[in-house]
Amino acid sequence: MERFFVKAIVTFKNEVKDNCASALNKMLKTLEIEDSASFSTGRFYTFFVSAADLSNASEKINYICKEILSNPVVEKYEILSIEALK
Amino acid sequence: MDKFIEKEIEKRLKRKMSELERHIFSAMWSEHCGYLHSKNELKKFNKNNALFPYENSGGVKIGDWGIFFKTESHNHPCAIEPYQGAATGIGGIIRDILALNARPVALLNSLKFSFSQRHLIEGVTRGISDYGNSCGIADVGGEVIFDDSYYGVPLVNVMALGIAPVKKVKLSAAKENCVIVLLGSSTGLDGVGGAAFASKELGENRSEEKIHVQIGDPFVKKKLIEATLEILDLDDVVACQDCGAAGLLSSTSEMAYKGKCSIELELDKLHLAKKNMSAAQILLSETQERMVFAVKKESVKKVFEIADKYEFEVSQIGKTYLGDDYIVKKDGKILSKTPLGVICNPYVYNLYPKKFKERPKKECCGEFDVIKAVNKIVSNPEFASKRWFYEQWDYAVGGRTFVPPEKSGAAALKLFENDCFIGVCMDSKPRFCALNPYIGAKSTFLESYRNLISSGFEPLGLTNCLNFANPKDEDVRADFVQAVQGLADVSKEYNLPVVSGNVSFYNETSTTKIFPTVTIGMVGYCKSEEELIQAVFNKDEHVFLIGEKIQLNSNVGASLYQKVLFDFIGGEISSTDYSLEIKLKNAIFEMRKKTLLSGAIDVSKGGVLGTLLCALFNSDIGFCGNLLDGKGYSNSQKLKLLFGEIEGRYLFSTKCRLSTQEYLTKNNIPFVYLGICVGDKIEFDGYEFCLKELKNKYFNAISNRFD
Amino acid sequence: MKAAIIVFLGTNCEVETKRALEFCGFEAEYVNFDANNLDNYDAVFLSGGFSYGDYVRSGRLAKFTPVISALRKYIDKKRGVTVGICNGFQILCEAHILKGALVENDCSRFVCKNVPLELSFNGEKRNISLPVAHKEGKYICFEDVNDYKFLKYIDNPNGSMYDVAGLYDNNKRVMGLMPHPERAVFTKNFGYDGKEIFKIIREEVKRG
Repeated sequence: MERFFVKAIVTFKNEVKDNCASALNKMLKTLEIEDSASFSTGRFYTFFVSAADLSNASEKINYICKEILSNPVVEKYEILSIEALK
Repeated sequence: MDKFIEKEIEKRLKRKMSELERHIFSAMWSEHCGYLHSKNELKKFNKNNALFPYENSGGVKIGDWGIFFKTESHNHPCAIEPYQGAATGIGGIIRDILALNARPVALLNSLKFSFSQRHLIEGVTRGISDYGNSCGIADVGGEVIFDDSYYGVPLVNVMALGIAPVKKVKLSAAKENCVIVLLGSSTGLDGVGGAAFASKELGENRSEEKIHVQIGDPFVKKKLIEATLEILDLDDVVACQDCGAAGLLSSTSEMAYKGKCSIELELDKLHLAKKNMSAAQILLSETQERMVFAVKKESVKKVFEIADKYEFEVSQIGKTYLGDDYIVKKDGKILSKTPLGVICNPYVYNLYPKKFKERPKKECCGEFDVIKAVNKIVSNPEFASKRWFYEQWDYAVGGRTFVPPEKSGAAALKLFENDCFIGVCMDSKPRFCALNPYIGAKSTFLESYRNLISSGFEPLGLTNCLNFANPKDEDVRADFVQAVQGLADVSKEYNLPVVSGNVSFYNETSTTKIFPTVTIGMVGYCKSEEELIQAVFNKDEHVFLIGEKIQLNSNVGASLYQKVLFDFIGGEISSTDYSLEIKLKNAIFEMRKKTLLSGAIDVSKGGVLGTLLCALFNSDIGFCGNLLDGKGYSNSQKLKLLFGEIEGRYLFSTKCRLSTQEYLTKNNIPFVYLGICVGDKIEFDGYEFCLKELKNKYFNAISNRFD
Repeated sequence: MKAAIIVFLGTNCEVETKRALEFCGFEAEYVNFDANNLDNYDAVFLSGGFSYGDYVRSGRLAKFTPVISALRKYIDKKRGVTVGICNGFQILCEAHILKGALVENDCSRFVCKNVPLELSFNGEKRNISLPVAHKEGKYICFEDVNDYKFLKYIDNPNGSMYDVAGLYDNNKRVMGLMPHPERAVFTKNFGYDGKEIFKIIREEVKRG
């Protein structure tokens, strides 16, 4: 068994309005910091998994992201990195 | 630690303190835990008919049921971290109620801000929303007041109310030969030294203070409520304490001190969030969502089973036995052994203020056009509807709320278990207390009293939260002594017990100082839904004013209109007449019985006109009548008569004008007929306003600023 | 008519749901999240609250409990009617038992108030009023669900697509709604229209 360190983010799909992002865009504009900031927000996760190899690990990680961390109806996820630990 | 206090401790110990004891005493002898400056004064309060007034929370009795309620302040944490501060404030007060084996069923908030501090207002509101809503306790009422005196330190006073059958109540005194069990979150570094932190003024560099603020978890709290109530139902659980200020130290020492036994803690037995915590850190950690139980040996297993069911960690951390010491052990070694009589019996100051502050008696005498004044007052955030706040709080969860916020002076909760209603309200009048703390405190009491009466409730008892600046300041001490005296006198006069309370000092910064602020929470009883009264007037009903008549020479100091229109806080305020108050109460209850009375509201903020407007906005109905008894008044006289705030008045509506008039005359109740509720205009004494326009201003004044 | 009220850790509207159900003629009992059979019940209610703290997403974590597996079987064999109220609706969506998802309100705040609604049942429409109390009640779905809607906001408080306040599944055996009918049974201040919802549920159960 190997240990893997995972970083993943979950964000809204493009069709879903991101309230917090809209508020931030508006604020930056009002403060005259940035006219088109185009924020998007999401949830950032780090966690460890144990698996025989990288391909097993990535299967497990995808399952976790899809079934537990996000709702595919409105959200998408992205696995930012998988780091094998020694 | 204060040199004087240090000497006093070592005199009583008859030896030097150890390093660990220094930590113990700096928490237990802090203002926050030990009530050093207030204890002597608080003895003045009336406790007659109070249920368990010396426990975590006291209460009153309705049938076989105990209604327990208490307030707590979380002012300092909210100034630093408003979201977590407000959330953990709720968490703390819930545990005080829970410790008695009472199920918390309602929350109320009394909040004071400077209106300019939007981040604090939003943070506190969101903290209450996220935490209170999530643990499933209805947030049924309270108040929000805006004044720049709260710029440095906002006041966040929270009240919780819980219910329990009186004979199932568990007290906080342990007995000998019990096992001490700690249930809940793992003890960590959060909030270490919080009690000491709350007992000093706030410094300039606030981000460094953040370590003192605890982090709450409402999901864990909800589970903790269920688990605790299940554990306390076990006969063999002798006592319970929540871990609040000064965490494990204060809960375990008080438990043993009250139970007149020794307690021995083994700190290596605790479940910890962080390795290598020092003894002092473990004892003083203010990690949220923890409860301590004293349990007979035979039942420890059952407690562990319940903990397991709710997925809680639990540890057996010590025991009690014959003696009077507080013993701290780690890895089998005794770290300290200190007499409980010294730990739990801190030095108490006698305040004896030398002089009372003379306040300027100057009257407010500005000119302001009445139409402009109405518009300005209606859209003033302090006067305006607090809908923006309460719609973010779940006021109906639990299914006991029968009257939503602002529909009547007090919230109405159904006590299904006894088929009756509990009324509860929370009020303060800081401007009045600033002008005269003695009369101001009385006036605050009566505000709550009338809120209950006008909602159909017979008052049963009260709790209080006394918020003041630094007690080392002579003026502050004088204010405090006067306010306590006022509250003590009025509660004796009306024979209502002060069942619990909280004192918060040091509410100041180097540049700002709060008004002396007395917050009252009062609880009442009503037999049936038919007898509840709302501040709602219906179409074609007649409006009467009963009680004190306002005169051109009445004392109307501290009235809201003076602040809003002239930025003036001053003048004199008057005391109230006991026999009139009782007469009015009896009249309201009797008219309700005779179904003469339909809706009622006590006259407070904004005087007769302000109060009438509130009722009309709530009822969505216009008005036509006269509020002044003649013509020829100057503008400033009109303002005083319309908006001036004096004691002892109610407005009510009735369908039957003549029989009401007859009743009032016969019973010698001073009254004025004001007019009739009709149409979509508000007309009085030659003035005319559009109901819809004013109503929009009233309901949207706050959301217009914040949305 | 026997109803189960499922209690997850963090559920907090179970008491008033039971009270309201009993008042409306149901026999109701609590069923813990670790139960694995629901066949005894004619109706299953998932009541409001914050199951598992609403961590990750509202209603997200409840779907991994044994009782939800039991519920899937219960629904598959068309044993009775399933009703998710507020957090219960969120759970049903997260478990993909109902279409769509519920996300944060457009105002980004918790909203607690009575709202006007249009109730459609058996081809008839009528206006009612029920309390809502939620922060994540904005319904989103990228397929047309108009045919499954039984409750519609007249004055949309949260930005829901198609003004959805309450929704059926394909077989009309599962209902989810954000408003709280159990809070509108006992007093005029919150109205009595909750009874209408429970009446419909009874009829759905009877229809079998």
